[in-house]
Amino acid sequence: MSRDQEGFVTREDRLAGDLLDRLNEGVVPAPEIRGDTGESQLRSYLEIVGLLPYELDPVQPSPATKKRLMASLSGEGGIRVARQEERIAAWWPTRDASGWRKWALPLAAGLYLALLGVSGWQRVEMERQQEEIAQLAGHLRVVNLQSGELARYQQELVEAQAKLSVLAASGVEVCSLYPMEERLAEAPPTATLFVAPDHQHWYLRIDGLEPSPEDRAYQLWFITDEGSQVSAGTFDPRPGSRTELTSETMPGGTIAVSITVEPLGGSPEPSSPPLLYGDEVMRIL
Amino acid sequence: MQPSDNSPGAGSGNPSRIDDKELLRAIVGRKQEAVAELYDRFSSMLLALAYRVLGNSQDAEEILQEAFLQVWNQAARYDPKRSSVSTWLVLITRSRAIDRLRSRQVQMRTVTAAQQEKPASHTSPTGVGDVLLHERQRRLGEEMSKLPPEQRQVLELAFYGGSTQSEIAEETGIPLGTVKTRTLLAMKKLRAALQEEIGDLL
Repeated sequence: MSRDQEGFVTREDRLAGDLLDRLNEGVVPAPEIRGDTGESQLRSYLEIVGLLPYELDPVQPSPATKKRLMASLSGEGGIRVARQEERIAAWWPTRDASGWRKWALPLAAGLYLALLGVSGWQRVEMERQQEEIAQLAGHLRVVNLQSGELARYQQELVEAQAKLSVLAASGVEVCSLYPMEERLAEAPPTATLFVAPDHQHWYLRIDGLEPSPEDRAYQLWFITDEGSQVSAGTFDPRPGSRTELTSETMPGGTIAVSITVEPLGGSPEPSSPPLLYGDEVMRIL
Repeated sequence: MQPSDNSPGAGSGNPSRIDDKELLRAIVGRKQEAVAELYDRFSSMLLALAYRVLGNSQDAEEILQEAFLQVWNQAARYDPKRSSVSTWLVLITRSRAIDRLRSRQVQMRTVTAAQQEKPASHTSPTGVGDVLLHERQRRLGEEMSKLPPEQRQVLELAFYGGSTQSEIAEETGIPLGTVKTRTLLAMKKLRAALQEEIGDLL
């Protein structure tokens, strides 16, 4: 029995050995031999490939994923193309369009109560968020809502609520980020990180940061007490607007945070000096 | 002979449930409830796959959603002679996940970060499909664990990492011929061991 140039003995060997390579090249192979043998062999090995993920522990998806899928089939917005900042945000569960009216007033009341227990500058921030919610609620009262408008307002409300859940928490920690390069001194960007008491949910507000240079992106890093720098994702500010990021996860032992400029898509570790950096944490009771 | 798709999703042993292929035909007919049913049958396995490839829950759920949207749009392209519905869904999801992985010019998360994050799994009622899913999981786990570690390694790098055999050889320092041999042996062993499962899908 002679081997071919690549060492395979039979057509079946070639099929079995190369199938994953072909799939990784984006090709669904056709059988080399027409007829029962070739087609059934190919089918068998394809089914083996299809069986492989069954070894993994199943992971139940979030109910919101199915809801978004079904909404997209109905043409109620389709798969949402997240803004880059939403890619590391969007942790707050979506709510039924019909349900938001029920919690708008309790939310406003909760906000008012929460205002009593926070420091002044945090209060200012919360008031801004409260105004935003009031404006959105006003829109909903006066506008004869089309489904698209409702979805947009709902999304904005959800985002506002996510930020407020961090801001309004008792024991929130605040860390200011400062520019690290002198050339930025004329119009320096500023940023403030709010971390909820669970040390997982966080909200970062960045002002004055220009859009990233072409082919570059800003990347956020959490620096742990073990010295590792863990990426929290990339983002690109819109011109003239505040950038707001939020997420539900933060590495354990985070002691500092920084923002660097990296190639599009991000880097596995910072490749440039921090543009903004902060490691002084103040706790607001 | 009309193929019978007895995947866990199809509800083997429960003839009252609609066959996976019937569901796909209903999707071609723009029945949204058929997508919902197919999703309920396969989403937990497909999400596990996407998470294994990407190591990130949010990305994995996005891929899952995109995959089912592709099913909705391209159900008519499914050819029952080429593969079972289950395998077709796996190939779609894996392909999208690998594309997403490659589109990250560099991996966004360090290995440490990926290991820290656990996939968020939500509870769902246990049904016939779950029992069959767990049985298939048990069988695959059993057979995969019988593979020598070096064969399992190349299979995982190729399947979950999207690496070609040449790339695996380069990454691991193992000669290309050895990588090919290990892949071939692993595939042939699985084919021999999983005859019953393959038969259920044909």
